[in-house]
Amino acid sequence: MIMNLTFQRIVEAIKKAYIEACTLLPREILIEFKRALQEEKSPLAKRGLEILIENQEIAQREGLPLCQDTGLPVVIVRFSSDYCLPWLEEAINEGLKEAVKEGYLRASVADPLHRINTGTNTPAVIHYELCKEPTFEIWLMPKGCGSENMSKLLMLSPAKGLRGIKSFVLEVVKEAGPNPCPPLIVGVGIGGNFERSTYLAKRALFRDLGTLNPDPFIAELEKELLEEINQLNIGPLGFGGRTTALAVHIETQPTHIASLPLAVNLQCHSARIKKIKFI
Amino acid sequence: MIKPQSLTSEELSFYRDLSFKNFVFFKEHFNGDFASYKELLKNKLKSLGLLAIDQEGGQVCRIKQDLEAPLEIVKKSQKEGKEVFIAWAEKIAKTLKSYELNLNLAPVVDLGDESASDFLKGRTYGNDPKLVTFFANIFIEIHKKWHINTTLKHFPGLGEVKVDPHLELSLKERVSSEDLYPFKELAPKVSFIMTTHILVPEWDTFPVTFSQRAIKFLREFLNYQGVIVSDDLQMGALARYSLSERIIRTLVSGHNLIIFCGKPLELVETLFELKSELEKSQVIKIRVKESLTILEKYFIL
Repeated sequence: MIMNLTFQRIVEAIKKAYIEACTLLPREILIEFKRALQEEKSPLAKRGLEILIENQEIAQREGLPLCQDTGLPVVIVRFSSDYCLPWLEEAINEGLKEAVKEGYLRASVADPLHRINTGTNTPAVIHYELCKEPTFEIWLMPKGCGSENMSKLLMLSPAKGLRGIKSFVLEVVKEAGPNPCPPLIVGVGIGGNFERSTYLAKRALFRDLGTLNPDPFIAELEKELLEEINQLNIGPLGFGGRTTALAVHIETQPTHIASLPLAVNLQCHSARIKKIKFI
Repeated sequence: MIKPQSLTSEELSFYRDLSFKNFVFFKEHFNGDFASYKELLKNKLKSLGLLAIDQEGGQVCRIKQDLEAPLEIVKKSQKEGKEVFIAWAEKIAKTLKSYELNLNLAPVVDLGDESASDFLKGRTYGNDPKLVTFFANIFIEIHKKWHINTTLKHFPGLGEVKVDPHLELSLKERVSSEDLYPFKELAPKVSFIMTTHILVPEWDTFPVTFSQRAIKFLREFLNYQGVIVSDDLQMGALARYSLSERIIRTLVSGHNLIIFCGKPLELVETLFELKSELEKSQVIKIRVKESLTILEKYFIL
């Protein structure tokens, strides 16, 4: 089976996925836009949503990116031990490079200090997840930095508890205001340690929109937070209204007894995700 | 639709210059001497590709044939055995063969029985997706035996759609797993799937004909590798879009072939209008390349 996973196949799949992710808004998000359009009362909020729907129609017709920011590609490779490919990172980056060229995607990645653009949107940020069952999947998220820049991490005192968690998430969304391009998807990572919590927050953004955490306690927290965020009156594109966020996704992991790491990763309305399942 | 008789040399040279080679024929084409008409096309154009008709049985028969409607023959076969259906399908396939056609725009795998909307009545195989798949499979196999390609239509299923897409754009609130069953089961067996002009709000704000999401679903979820062909772009359902808009959107969505049954010169004019956009647009270039690759795979270029 591993014979099928050739370098070129992965390059082609990544290229196609990156271009498609940038030009075709996921169906679930579109459905949410339309639902929100029915529910919003304020004319400005309605207009904002109409513009977003129109924007994705134009992107689809013209094959143009939904947003000028075609992001820093974030990749999660989910694989089982049978599918170890030593050249995988090279193939992924090659696919991304080709997509930038063929799909006319903006070069948005630069050296952090010299600020020299790599011109290719590579290297991608690549994470790995080892699975028990035979698996080989590549998940891709071209992550725009309007929303990434508004994301935050806090090493919270465990004594602050649930109330502290909720107030920090709300504070992050409130402070961000219109900057991360709402309606948002709010990814929250709770637990682990300093760096793990941020990964959990990012991982939460990869979850299918509209699904809740399988743990009923956390699912309830997701619902409560969504309700409270949508009372902040930031609204679509920041012009006020009920639709500040489309979903709150929380992922958790046990942490140190003296610690409560809490990361909030915001995702803009162009929630571009592609999941490629090879096996 | 190309003129059934007396094609002028001007028309023929347009078709040749634009490399038209795939044609859908209608009743009018079979009124006269079809063989010599086809010979004329063959001689004047560089080569001929797909030669298609809608020969579904019953009312929809472009070549006059005394055939029961699909729904009728399915019912009869359930009582008397599948041989009845096989004989019926064989008659259809043989007819296409005798006219040297190579593509039947059938079977209809939309779900519906006697209570189906008027435009679909009698054309369907029934309401039970497994039964529809069983008989459609025989139809496909018999055609294969006679080297005729078949087309599953109308994706994602016209079952429960009340308005005829020939007249207006209608809405399908939900595409059920029953609707998709025949497409999913038969997709690996056919080289052609035809879509229809309906709006599925849970998929897109565009009709299926213009929807990248619908095509993506067909390719990824149903794992379909063959040719995706649109229904006639001249139907009333798409009337609010200009012809050039219809062509561009259908191409961009990922359809590999477009059916146009209007006046050929109108199409030629529109294609000339579109020339610069077709040449400039990167996405169209990619789509055309994809389509040519798929068509090549089926040896029908």
